[in-house]
Amino acid sequence: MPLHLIPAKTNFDFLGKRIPALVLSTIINVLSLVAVFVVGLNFGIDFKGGVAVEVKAKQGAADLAELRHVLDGLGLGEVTLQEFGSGGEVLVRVQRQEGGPECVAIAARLLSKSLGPEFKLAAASQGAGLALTLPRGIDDGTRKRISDATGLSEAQLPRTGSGVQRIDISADQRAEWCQQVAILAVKDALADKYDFRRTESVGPKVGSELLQTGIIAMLATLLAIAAYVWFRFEWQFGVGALIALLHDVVSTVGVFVLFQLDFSLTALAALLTIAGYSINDTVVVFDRVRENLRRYKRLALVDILNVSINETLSRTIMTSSTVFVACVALALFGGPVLHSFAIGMLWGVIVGTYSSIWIACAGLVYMNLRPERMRGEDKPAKTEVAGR
Amino acid sequence: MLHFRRWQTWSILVVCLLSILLALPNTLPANVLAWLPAWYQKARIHLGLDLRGGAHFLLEVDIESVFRQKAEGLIDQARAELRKANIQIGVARPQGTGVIVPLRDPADLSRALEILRGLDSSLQAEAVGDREIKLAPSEVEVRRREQQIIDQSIEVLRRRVDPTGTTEPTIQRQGSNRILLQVPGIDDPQDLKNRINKTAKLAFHMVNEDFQPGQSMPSNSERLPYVDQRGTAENPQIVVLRRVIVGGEDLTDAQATFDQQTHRPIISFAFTTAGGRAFCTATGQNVGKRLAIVLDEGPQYGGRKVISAPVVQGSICGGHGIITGSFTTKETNELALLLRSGALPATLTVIEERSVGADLGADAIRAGTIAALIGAALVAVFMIAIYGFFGVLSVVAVAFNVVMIFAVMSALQASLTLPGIAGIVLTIGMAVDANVLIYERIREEKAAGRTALSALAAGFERAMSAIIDANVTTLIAGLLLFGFGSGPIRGFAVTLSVGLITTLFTAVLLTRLMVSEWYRRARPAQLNI
Repeated sequence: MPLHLIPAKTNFDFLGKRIPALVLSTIINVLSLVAVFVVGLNFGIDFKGGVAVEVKAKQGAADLAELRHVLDGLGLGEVTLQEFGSGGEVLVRVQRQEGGPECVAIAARLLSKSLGPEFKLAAASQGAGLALTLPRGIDDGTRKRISDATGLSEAQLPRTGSGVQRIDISADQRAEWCQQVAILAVKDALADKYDFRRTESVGPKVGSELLQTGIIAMLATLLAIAAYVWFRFEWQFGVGALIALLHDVVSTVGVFVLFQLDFSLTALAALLTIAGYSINDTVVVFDRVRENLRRYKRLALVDILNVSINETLSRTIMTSSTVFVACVALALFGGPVLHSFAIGMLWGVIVGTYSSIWIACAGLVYMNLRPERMRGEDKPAKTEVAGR
Repeated sequence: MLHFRRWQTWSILVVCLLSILLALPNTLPANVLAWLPAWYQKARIHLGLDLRGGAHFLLEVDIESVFRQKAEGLIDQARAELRKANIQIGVARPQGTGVIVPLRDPADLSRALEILRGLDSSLQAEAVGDREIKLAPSEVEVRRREQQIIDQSIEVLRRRVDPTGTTEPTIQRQGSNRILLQVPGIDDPQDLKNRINKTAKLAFHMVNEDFQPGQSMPSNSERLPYVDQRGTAENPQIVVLRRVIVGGEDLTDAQATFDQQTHRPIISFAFTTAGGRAFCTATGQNVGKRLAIVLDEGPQYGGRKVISAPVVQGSICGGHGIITGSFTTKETNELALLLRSGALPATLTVIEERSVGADLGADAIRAGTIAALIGAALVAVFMIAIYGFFGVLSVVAVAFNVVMIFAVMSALQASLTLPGIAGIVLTIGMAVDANVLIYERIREEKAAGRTALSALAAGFERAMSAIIDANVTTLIAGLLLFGFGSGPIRGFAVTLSVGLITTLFTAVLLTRLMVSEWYRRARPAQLNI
């Protein structure tokens, strides 16, 4: 005989607890918003710009203390290290490079190290350009070696001549180039002991664009879903769904702030998926509410909502459980890239299920969905009706 | 509701069979695949860069600087023309894509405007205030040049990134001034970056027509490979004189166009003044001989090669010339592009880079597969524990769902990424939702006292609206994710969206078919659900 997770027929008074639930949710959401502005999200390089290099020790475990010492000495600004796996794998993250004089100095050091101290690189006296000192006439081989060492492209290097040569680049180009310098500096410092498994670099320009697109995608998704629900149900359902979705998204962002999880493009995907999952759950309950509104013409709205939630409760718990275990598998075995996505989803499953009941349905109570029945609101749920 | 017509049953079975066939090439071992037709072998899911290893670059093309350079040329041109008409101008300055020309005397304004307007049809001149004229390429001209610069950059990139035509890079324009470059399976992104921005050289030499095969190579000549665009060169090698007549840096333009009289496709080209003079002398002395156009893209591309060797018909003076021949339009376009592709038209700046080593990709595949299998197993155990026999049916349906996702992705030639695998895992979790909705409804109907058949039928029927609404809303999120996302995230959106659609098939039709067949044979009086 198959198991029943919960009794076949339940009769919980979910909406009787709506006031404490709404208070709790409001507190969580307000705290989340405050946290976003006060503490801030731990933006990954996708949105903030910067460099991430995943390295693996050629032998044995990674020596984090040594890594930190070496990398801090490079003068690249803030460097964070994150160890994962067991095989000496470390994710090195370097803050976004602003294209200041430090970066030129680093490039100059790399140049001298590779081609000899008589090769020099400095910031030009005016503008964002660079001044390259060549001890002798340049040839194709030298041009390639300079390019390899500094990340400047061969096309940017002088074709002929020696002595001090000016390289014209704009301030924007210099900032983007400095990202490349940061990668070269990290690789140069670690190449002896580490293999490079993954390199990511997001320039200042792309980072802010990705964040902008992300926010637009988020809003567009929420509105499109709400519009669909409005189209399929009544406007009150659309508004209820929208509030529930906002609740889920905001509180998930709060979780990312709380645990300082890496907020990357993958995390954004998790947010959108949570929105998709949450609405999935909400729509199932709404569908039953719609059905019961037609069936029980005399029942108070709160009672109809309670009956609907109870009737769909075993399905809600069952589906949440299957999605939850699938996400647990992802979180435990999916590797580092999917980790923050899976953690976000685990929270999303819980909050999405919660919000379908206490935000979306509770919201319906306050929106005059069935005004003539509102007076019955304060009566206790009628059990005999649910058993019909 | 449970009854299926025969054609319906068959359609469902055919779809299932097709899915298996489409998904199969992805799992067959290589030695079995080798026996199958090529098109079938190829119908496999592409692995994304994060699984396969490779590099992704977003490059910004510095179009502005090209316009700035052109603007400087415009200033000289304007000054010269106006001087002829005795109009004095002040210090002109570049602005946007054009230049601002200040006049010393405002009285000259209308006359100056007239002269400047007659300069070139692609230019626009308009008065700014009472003594300044803005001279700039027209909107159409700006768009045309932007397109040309991007096309040319893409062509140069393709030749540099994929000289052998085997690495299957993705190179496409993004937005107004960006190029997306994705190269699978490379280990050293640094090397690729260096290759992208290196300079190639173009030079014009005369062919040594006196050279006889078998003769020893004279010191003033050299043998170069002849890589004809059409691949029809009779002799794959050609002997050219070492002396460079004109270098590619003196070539200012090359365009595919048509002969005014014969209307045949030709290529017109233009030189700088110095280049034009040198070219005039050399062609005058070498009428009837062939002129070799030599491209040098560095040692990794096989060094220098002759890309075209037209016969000189007469002395070419005045800085302009044409290359005629029995070309098709496509060929003249390609050759013009090649002539221009001596160097990148503008600097490319890497503004986003993501590269993954092949071994990390392999690790990611392993991790993703393990997570997917464990996730699927947990969900299966759960479903069977709760719904017994019906749980088994839903597990079959979900297994088919995964097969169908693979089939659809193979057919679409979509890329599977690591987040894409996450999408499949999530689909496994969510796909059973449709089954859960149906089964829970059946339980309810059964509890309400319906007979087995009527509970089954009602369960399927009444769960439908919830299933459709739930899947469509999630699909909205998936499609928007696809629209706004990039790279790996798109991979996630693809598997999630495809999974939602296949779920409708497997949960609603396939499960229903299985239940209906089971009912027809077992005829149970009681539903054990």
